[in-house]
Amino acid sequence: MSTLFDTTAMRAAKAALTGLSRRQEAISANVANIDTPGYARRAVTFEGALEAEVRRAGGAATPGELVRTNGAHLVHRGGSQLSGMTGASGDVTRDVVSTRNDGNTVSVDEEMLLMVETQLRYQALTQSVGRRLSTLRSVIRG
Amino acid sequence: MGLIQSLRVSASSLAAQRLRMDVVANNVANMNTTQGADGGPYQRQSVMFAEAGREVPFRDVLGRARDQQAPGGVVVTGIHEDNAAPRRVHDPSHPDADAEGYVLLPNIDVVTEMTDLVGASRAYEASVTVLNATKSLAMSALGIGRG
Repeated sequence: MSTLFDTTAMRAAKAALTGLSRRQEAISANVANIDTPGYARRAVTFEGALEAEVRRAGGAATPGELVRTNGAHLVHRGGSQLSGMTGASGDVTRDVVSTRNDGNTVSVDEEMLLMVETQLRYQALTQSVGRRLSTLRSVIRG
Repeated sequence: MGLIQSLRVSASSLAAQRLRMDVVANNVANMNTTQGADGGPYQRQSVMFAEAGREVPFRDVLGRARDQQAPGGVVVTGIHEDNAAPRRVHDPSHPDADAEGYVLLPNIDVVTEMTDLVGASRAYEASVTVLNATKSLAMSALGIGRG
């Protein structure tokens, strides 16, 4: 079931943007608590849930995914195209193993890396959604 | 509203780190203060941080779970006095010297204070970086459908 605007891809992009903004929220909290004794780092994971959701919505294989049509084919071990995308509401988990004296599990380098990654993914998604909308606009205007 | 919440969280960190810098400045300024608030030598102060929303009423937790809003941020739980012994320096000419000519000076080590200051400054910078990243996320979301 997909209409002009409500396609699986658009819904997936929306879920991914929500998940990424929640991840950014977790990064903010982690960096804010970088000197809080005993703080357990937050992590948001939603990629797997989103992929499952997209699979369910889109039926069988997602577009562009490799499919084994013969039993003799090698098993495709790489993730699907969507595995790099983010989705669903996202689960917040806590890291509890600390390497610091104060029991804090935040590593500033990891957070900065994750932040840049989140930022780039978010921009890529907003751009692709924008492109999709501008395509629709040119179709409507003729 | 996820991104606005992120901005608030980063802002709480900026405020907390600024307070930490103020306390360090106060400690360094009072390095030689022999008459503190309680009459004795000034005692070193330090800031205690805690995660915001760690102990909250059930109602708030329920509301947050419903709104899918994660708590976060940092709160200053208090400014504590360091009870380490003061330094004893022999200076008979000092007006606050005791009968043996010793003066009690505050328990402040400049190196410790400077390390703390650099730590606060770096944590502040990290939060500013996150704040800017969150802002760019919001800006790119606002750009959807433009042009």
